[in-house]
Amino acid sequence: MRRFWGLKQWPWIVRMGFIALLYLLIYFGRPYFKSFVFSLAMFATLSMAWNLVGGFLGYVSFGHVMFWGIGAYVTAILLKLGWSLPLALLSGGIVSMTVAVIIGMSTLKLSGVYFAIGTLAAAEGLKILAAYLKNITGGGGGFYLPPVLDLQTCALLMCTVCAAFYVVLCYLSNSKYGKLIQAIRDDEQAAVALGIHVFQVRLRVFLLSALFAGLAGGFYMINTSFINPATAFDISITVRMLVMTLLGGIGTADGPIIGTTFYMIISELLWVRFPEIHKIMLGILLVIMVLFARGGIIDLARRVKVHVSS
Amino acid sequence: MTLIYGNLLTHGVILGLLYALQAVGLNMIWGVLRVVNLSHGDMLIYGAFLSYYIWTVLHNPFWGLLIIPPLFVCCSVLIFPLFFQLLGKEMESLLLSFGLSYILTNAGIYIFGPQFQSLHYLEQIINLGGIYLTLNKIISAFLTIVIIVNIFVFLKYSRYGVMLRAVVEESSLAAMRGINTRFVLFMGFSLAVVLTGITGLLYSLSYAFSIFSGQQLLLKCFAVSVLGGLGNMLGSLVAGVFLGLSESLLAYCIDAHLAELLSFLVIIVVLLVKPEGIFGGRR
Repeated sequence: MRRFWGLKQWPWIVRMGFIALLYLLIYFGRPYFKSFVFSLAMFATLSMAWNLVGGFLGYVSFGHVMFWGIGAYVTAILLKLGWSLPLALLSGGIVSMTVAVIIGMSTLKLSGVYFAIGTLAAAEGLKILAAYLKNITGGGGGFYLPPVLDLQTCALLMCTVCAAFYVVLCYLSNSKYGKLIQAIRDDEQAAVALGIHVFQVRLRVFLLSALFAGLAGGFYMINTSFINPATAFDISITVRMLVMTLLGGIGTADGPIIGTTFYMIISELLWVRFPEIHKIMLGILLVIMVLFARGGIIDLARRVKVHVSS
Repeated sequence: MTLIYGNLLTHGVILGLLYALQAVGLNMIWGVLRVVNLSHGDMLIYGAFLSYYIWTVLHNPFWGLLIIPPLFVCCSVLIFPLFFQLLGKEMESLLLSFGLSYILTNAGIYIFGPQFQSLHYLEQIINLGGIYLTLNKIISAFLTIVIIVNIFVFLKYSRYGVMLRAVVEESSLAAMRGINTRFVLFMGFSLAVVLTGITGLLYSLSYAFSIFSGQQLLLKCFAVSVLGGLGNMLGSLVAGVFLGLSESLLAYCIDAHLAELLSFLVIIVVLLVKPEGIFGGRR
């Protein structure tokens, strides 16, 4: 295999081709495809954010949707106050990070069970809080925003953020810092014995995850122009992040993107025909993935490759 | 003025006892399978809906005390092997229970509908020296206490309770002594599931519920478990009553929404300050 900058060539050609395809769809596709690519990029960002915590740290977050919701709310409120767009989006991410600091400080020192409890509780609590603070968030009725950007620009920006996050994740999974994170996940005590500041590393990774989830929320807000507490802290979105990540392959950089693409295509073709029971099917898919196919598509491909070559 | 507070305290304690019973079920599953059962709230609401339908058909929800246990044991026969397969894998079993919760909620919307339901059974008001209570609240509080005492006695003194604790403490050693560990674990699990269903029945007697209440009840259950220490039964009893009391006082003195937020604050603050719970116990 020829190498280029120390990397195998053909996977990178496939990846670049995929990103190029998305950009082409945004530029030349019908509005349906533009909106499809927007959702794809948003969910890919979200599931990569979840994967960063669930896959790389081994801490399962059941309330990751809250960072998305916070990002959406903060961006909306700041835009209404007359802030400029980039500043509002960035602030959305930063406020998400602040919330992540509070949750991380209290739960990342403990075992994964407490992290699961803490995140699930925080998402529910923030939903109640968003409905309670009527003067700021508009309460249960939701928050409206006049349209800021057109669909094409939105999708373009979202795609760029997604690609940037993907590059960060690739760097993380190959770099020394990434190995450090994996070492902590695989054997915490050995990592502590080697002098790694475990809690600090975990908190940093959690913050990065929250930042990008918050950004994705901000973009959702400027695209949709409406948010209410039930959507912003909807547990279904967390479930979707989980399913997409597990479908692709948990703990890998490519997994979430592969999983999201598969999931989005399946749901566009199949599940829109069963609007009443598709959430039940989503739950059943999650259970089946957990029980029988924890590695996802990437693991399956690896096994097939081993089987063929041997 | 004192009468208002007397009423608030009584209702708070009754609510708190229900929270405690619910948390005891959660802690039992945690003790048995080392998994925080995220589908706990949904199981409880299924019990509540069952009692609602029993009330509409038979006009007496207490038939549920006979109908719910066998039904819930059948369900746990189906669910237990899934959890048992993932025993010791923290992350996977959490994901499994989360998936189950999602299935149960959405199947519940499909089966029961999203609207609120409430029972109207034994609603005559009784005056206990200025403290007003409906008869069903008194009965549900009484039953709650009876069940909690029974569970404690069962776990502490009965043959199967001792076996269960032995298996949880040291599984391989218990197996060496000829205990069928899988069966004992299944027994503990199904007991906890039945307990959850009964809690749902008691909850449905005095409070309105919808399928979405499950998530909020789970949140309260977490607050109680974290406050009392996960796996500490006595702790969750005290913490449950404490949470019920403070919610009822907070709802009267400040705002009902803040009472909803209280459990969330309790979880974050307790985990930040004293993660092993206020009564010690295992982390």
